[in-house]
Amino acid sequence: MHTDIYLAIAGLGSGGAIALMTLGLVVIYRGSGVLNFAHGGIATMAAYVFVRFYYNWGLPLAVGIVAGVATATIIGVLFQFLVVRPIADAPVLTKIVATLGLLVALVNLVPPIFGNGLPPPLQFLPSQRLQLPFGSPPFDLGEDRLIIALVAVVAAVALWALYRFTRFGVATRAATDNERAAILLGHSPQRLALINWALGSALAGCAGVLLASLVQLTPGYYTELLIPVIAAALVGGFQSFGLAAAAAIIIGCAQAVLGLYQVSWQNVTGVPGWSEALPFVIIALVLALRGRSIPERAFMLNRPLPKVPTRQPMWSLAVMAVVGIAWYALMPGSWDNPMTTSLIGAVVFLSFVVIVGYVGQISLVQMGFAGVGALAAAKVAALSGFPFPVPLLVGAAAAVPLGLLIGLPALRVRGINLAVITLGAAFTLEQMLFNDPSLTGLDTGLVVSAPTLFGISLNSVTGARAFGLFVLAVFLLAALGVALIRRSPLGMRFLAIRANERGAAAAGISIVRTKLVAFALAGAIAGLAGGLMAYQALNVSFAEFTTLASITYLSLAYLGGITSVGGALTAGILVVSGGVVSNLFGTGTFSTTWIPVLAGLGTMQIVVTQPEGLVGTNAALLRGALRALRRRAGRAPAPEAREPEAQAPVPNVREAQAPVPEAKTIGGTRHG
Amino acid sequence: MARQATADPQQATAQLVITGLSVSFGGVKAVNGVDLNVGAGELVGLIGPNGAGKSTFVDAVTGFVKPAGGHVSFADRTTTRWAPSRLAHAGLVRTFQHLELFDDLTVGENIAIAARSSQRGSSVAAERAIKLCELRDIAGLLVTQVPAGRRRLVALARALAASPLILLADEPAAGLDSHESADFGAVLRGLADEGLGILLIEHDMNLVLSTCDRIAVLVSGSKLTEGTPAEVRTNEAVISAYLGRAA
Repeated sequence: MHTDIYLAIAGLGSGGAIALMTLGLVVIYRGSGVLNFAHGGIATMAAYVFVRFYYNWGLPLAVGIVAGVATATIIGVLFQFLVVRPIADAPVLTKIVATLGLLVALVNLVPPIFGNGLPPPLQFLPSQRLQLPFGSPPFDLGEDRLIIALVAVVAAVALWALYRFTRFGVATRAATDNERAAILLGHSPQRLALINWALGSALAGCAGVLLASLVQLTPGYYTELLIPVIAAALVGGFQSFGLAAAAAIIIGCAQAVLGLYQVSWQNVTGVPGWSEALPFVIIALVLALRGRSIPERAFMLNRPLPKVPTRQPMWSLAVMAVVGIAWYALMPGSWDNPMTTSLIGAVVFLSFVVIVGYVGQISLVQMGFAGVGALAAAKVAALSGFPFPVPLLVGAAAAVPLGLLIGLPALRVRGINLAVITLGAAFTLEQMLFNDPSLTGLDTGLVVSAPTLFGISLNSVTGARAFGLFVLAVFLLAALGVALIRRSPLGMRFLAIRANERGAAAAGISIVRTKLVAFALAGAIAGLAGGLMAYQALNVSFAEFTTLASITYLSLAYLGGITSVGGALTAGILVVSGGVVSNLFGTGTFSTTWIPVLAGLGTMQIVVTQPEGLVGTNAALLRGALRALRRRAGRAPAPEAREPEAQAPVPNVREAQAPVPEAKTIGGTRHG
Repeated sequence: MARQATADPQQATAQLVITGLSVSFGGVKAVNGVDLNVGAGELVGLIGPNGAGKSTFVDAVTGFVKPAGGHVSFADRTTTRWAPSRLAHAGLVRTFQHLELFDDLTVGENIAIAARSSQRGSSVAAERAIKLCELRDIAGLLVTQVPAGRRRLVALARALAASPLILLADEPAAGLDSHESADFGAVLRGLADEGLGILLIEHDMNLVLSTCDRIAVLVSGSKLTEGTPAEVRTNEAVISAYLGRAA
């Protein structure tokens, strides 16, 4: 018990940092209605800039702190000005993807700018231990931890007062409640949002800098803090600064205590990650008890979600098949595996096309599904009596129940809340399943024996060509399925739900069943991709299936084109690490670091200017080029192969009531 | 004026019977013990001032809001807690005051989805709805490209494509001018004469008084009175509650 309390007190430090970040997150949400998934990325940048100024260059502490916090503020201001402002009238999904793009860009910017070396905890805060007046022996507390917690408390009180008493705060609250009314009162919501973004980002910067005193900095550290931060913000209803800060500090302390029991619980239950799972438990509880917990803000929506092409022409699939086969037949062997990597990535992106593109449900857990698929495939492959394609199918099937489980909350929550739930699920899978050494072999990975099909070796190393052709076939089948779904009645139900859930329910669509089908389907496709990854790697490292990977893949899927098969393939070829384009630049820093950075920046750009993704841009360019070619050839421009106008809805559905009585028509009533 | 009911034998028995329906939001009774029936071929008006609980009433009947009490039966089955989609399959279909169309789909797709997704819906019903609402020329346009007035017709057509037995139309003529509104009323009248039961929630007194068989008046969540247009027109309580004391 004594140790528990000791640890809880020590947890005040990280609790305080979580609280500062939470306050910043709430400020940004209240000020602009955007849940900033890049919050951890902003804190990371601030921390690294601080380290550079203070630790590497030996500048005074104050200069370092100012530089770090200023960096965070500038990032926030630029992001609001350049990205959030142009999409102020876009749906929640679009805004979330924009913040994901920023996160991907920021996290990947760290290594090229600051190198891969990890600075030690800097301990720049006074770390003398203070005797506390209770306990026997008396507890003590590091000054540094006390300082961080105090800063958080002061910030919470200051924010409360700011929003309560100042003109700026009142205006922000008014804009949150009713943007139109705030405009009528003479406030500019965008200006208010800008100030709030600056303030919120500065707070994230403070947290980043202060925490660098206590912990060793890694690029991913603050990103993972996002989960406890969101949990705390949820407890405060994304409204109350006091509640949010208190919850954050308590979470920090509780995690410190749970860390102690972690190992013994793992021995009993066989499951690691209890301390990391706590915030997700809180998120799930709060959402379950309160239903809609992040107050959705009413925006004046003008921008639609990216258009879903009515028909994804089947001939383009045939072209993909021919080009793919030619690639494996003609290109030098060193290009086989990059293409295979691209195609497997494209299968992951196909799962996003279904769940995000068609149904409009945000899922940040697709790489988690892929990990489960890889795990199941690897485990089944290790058993005897299950010849090759079987483990792959088991992998796909294994992700289905999980997809259903995670789809369940989607029946009640949507938008930001769903993003939060799936993010938490991805993190929990990572911590409790993939980090379990007994299950996944953690550092050594799981060995999968190379498959053979009909006597042909599909070893991804020695028979890279054969394996590649197999993956091509799997991709084409999955792509065909996803394209056919778009035209099917199921696809229509998907799109109807994406467009308007109330309308869909009134039109007879079961929201529950349709969403579950979508999650199961997307889960299966991701699980299939995971199985392919396992067979390609032959030694599966589950470090690939992280939360950050899920986030990155969603951002990349959006970049390629979230609503079409062509978009999935585009993303696979262009931006998957180790894929075709990445291989074009060799294994140097460009492909490993700058491509992800460009992809993150590109996502933000796409979200603002070309919501249908790169594939939309390409299609437009291609059409233009074809037209120019035809003109040069001197032929009369053939009629554009246009999207067929929506077919008149006379499919062979059910036979209706026999006689169709002629009724008066709207315009014809007066003379009818 | 009156026409024979269509060949569908179900329509003869289709009846919506609502008894003692209540809805509360955090202790506030938005709808308070309302009784209402709609029979096949009947056009019933539900009127009331702003905030009287008309839309909430429709939400509760069609499964979009959980009622706090009361009973709804439709076609001789208790449907009080049915999901909206299940009710639509059974033939209880609604439209929305705010339309709730599928904005990024075409007009034709909006209607086709309802025709395919609802069990009673059919391509024939969809065709007929398109014809009735004169949407043929804009079937290929996105909903957002269609002017507001015609969007109301798209919403009506989508509901009709599901082949309803009873249609709950929530302010279908809102925002239309008096001519268009009268046209709308005539179409609804025609549909009712063919056997469709309609509950028309409306703000426009003239429309309701001129087209409905029976009118119920909702004030502050409770039913004030119910009767023929002539009775309601002369009812003192209605005049003072709805039209204001000056009238």
